[in-house]
Amino acid sequence: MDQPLEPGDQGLSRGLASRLRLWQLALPATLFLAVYFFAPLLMLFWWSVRAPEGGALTLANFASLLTDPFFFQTLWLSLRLSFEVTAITLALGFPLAYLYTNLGSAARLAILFITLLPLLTSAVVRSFGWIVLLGKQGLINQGLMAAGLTDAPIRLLFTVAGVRLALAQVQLPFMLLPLINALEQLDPSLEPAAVSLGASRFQAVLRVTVPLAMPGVVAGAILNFALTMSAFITPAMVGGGSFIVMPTLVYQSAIVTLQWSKAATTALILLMVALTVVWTGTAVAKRWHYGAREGAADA
Amino acid sequence: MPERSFEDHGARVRARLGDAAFWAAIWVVSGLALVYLLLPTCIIVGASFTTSDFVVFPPVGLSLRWFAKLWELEAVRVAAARSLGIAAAATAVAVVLGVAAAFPLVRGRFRGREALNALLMSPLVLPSLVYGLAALIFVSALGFSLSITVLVLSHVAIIVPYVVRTTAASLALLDPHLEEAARSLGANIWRTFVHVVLPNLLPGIATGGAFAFISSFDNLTVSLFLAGPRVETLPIRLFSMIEFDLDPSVAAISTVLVLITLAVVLLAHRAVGLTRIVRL
Amino acid sequence: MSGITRRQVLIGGVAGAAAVSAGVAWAQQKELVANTYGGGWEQGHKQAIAEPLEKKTGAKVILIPMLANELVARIKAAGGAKPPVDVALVDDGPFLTAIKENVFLRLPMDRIPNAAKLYPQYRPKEPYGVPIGASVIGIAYNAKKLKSAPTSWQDLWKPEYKGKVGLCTPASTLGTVALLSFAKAQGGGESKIEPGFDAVKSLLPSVGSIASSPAALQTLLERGEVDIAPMWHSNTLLLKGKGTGMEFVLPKEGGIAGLAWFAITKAGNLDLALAYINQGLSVQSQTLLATPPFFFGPTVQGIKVEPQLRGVVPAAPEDLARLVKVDWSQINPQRPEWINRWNREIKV
Repeated sequence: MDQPLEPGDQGLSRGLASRLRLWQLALPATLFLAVYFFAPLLMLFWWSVRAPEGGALTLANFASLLTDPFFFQTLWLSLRLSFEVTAITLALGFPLAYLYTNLGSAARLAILFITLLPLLTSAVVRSFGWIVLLGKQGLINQGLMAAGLTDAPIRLLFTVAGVRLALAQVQLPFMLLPLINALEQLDPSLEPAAVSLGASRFQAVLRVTVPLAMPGVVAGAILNFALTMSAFITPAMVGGGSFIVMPTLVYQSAIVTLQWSKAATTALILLMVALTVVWTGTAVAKRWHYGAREGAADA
Repeated sequence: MPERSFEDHGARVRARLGDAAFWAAIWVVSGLALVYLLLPTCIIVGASFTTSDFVVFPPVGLSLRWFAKLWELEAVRVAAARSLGIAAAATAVAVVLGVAAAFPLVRGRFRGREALNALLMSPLVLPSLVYGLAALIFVSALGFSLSITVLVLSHVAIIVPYVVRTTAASLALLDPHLEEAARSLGANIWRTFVHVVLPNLLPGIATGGAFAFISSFDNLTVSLFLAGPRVETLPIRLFSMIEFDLDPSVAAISTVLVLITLAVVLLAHRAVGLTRIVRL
Repeated sequence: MSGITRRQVLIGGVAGAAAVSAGVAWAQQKELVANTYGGGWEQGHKQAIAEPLEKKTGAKVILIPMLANELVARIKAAGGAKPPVDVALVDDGPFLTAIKENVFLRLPMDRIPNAAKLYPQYRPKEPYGVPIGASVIGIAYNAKKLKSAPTSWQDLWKPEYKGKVGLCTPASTLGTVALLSFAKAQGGGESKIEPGFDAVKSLLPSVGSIASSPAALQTLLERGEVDIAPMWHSNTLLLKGKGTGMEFVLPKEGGIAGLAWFAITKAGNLDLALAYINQGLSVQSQTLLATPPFFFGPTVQGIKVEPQLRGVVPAAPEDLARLVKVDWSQINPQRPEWINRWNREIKV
């Protein structure tokens, strides 16, 4: 028979398989996520707005956290750290992504390999590497002393600087993939066109490539920001027992002090702050995009 | 490439130097980034061959003694077996759920398709820290006690998007006329699926499944919330070994994990090609 | 249709699940979970207690690292459900809290024959646990790297040690005792901890790192991240045995005594737990644990301790009696606040 395939097609046979509608195939996954992913999130929200002893709705949990200077200190540290890490990963990632788009397939494969390997390696292993690297007997201190830049090893482990370095490396693969995607989707003839019109390569990149890639770049950056802000493992391992960021607070209240209301509230504040950054970033990117369009049209 | 036109020789030289400087900068920063990506992993792998009793890089001498010791560490063996089991179970469930869900996503024409996509991908955007806490509270509030099943299901939730994504990508490349042809030759839907669709989807499913497996195997954050002290997964054991009992055997375990990851990446390349994965 | 029918798959799946759960149930009957403090504790208990027990009974013993304070909180949180461990290892302070909050099982002492040989001074007033090892808190310092040896808590402030001092948070007994010792040295005590916090804050310029467990602090000492710290004698001597140059001294204000206790959780695996405790109090186990590299002071009579170690390893109750005592009944109610305050105010 010469019929085109249609969703929900009855087909030629009997049996359960033929009576299935196409959308029903999505039901198992959807139901599962509804029960085991979204319902818990709702429960989380519920626990943050109910009083710890149970009962009425209240915003007291939020109030008590938001008026606590230590909480604000921690929130600020998390925000600051995430911005810095995102900036570092952008600064390192963009040139590498740009290089990627200008290389042949063998080199591209190599770069992808080097990107995917750490991405799929457990954060525990990578943070462990940083513990060894940043220690007083670690490679960095060895190098500094060999170069004569310092007599005694400097303290890098368990400091903000150490966590920043480690976290940026852990997040770099996550930043690279969207950057590569964004750059790959650009029209490859635009940059050479700009060059032929008299721009240097650098100017072409700055004035043409970057603005056009910006939406994808910003999307990747803000996703990374949110992930960095909620990273628990690396700050815990490389920052040490005294290093407290927002995820540490969530973990401590949930598992160590068993104050689930506090944990839920902290987690929600973390989510909301991250979301705010995402929305702001997306809005800024949209303006940029339209601005860039006009700019490119003039060029 | 069209040549630039210049007024004088000097400007041309300056332009060339400018370009050279630009590319030099790009190469230097990129090289730095690549080293930065690899350095910690290389350090751990290198340190695992040390003869000394503590973790140091460069290693003091070379020996396999810490790898040999792994076999004796019963707690590590137990945790590794457990992690393998959990990852296998979670991946199996995720594959069943994810492959099924990929079809409406790619072939469907109904109104909620975009929403369905967002829904299925949402575990990727939500921080696992928040999800781990939410699941812990949810499960306990409903009166269930923490168990391996609870943990496996939570892993399913966070790895299912990988399977959906790669399967959908594979499915989108599959010509529906193939299925049409099979059906017109008398095959029912099930046979068409098994003999025509599935073989072509297998690379995508395998890649998604591999990513899903590794994500579950490596997962620490969600497991820290849901595993409970009696259910120790390998990342949890590693985490506590680094805090409580650090010696080069931890580096040896890490090296084994890196080798497994390497195998997964190679598998993904064989199946689908790394360049295609990036576009997902 | 080809090959396997849906029904066959279903039956196979159910049978498989049944087999797996039967296997899991079987395994859990013969499985014991106990905690240790990691490092030398885990190695020592594994060699001296877990492995002999496994050989004797064929059961599997699983050791997980967890500090006493956190463990008691988690056992309480588990309520009626399965507790995180069957046999709990706890220090004096958390042990007292646990008794007060009725967390542990009242031990049928007649089922622990080896308990008869406990030193009378160590016998518990209420049979909710048995002491398994004695330890001392003093100062660990790296004699290879530091020119002068410390003689008092005050010496930690010496300029020579700047940047090399390590500390532990009050999440552990070690950290709590150190904080208290600093307070006492400045005229404070269990009811007046303020001088202790002031002292720690004034010490911060000298502090290299702060760890959250003695095992982590031991790693820091081993890696040279810090070279001097308040520390348990057992961790210090273990490091000394590795050739790091670590030495243990008691400050002139006095070292602080501590006993570690075994107790059984209420919903745990009773028979195996009692066997485990009995094994821990056996002559073989106590002897093994008293020798290098573990150095835990025996709690059972008649265990020989090497003469050269008698200065540092508390071989008998008289050794502990000479040391400074700490009033845990006063500390315990305040400890959560101390921990909280430390988290907020102490940053290196």
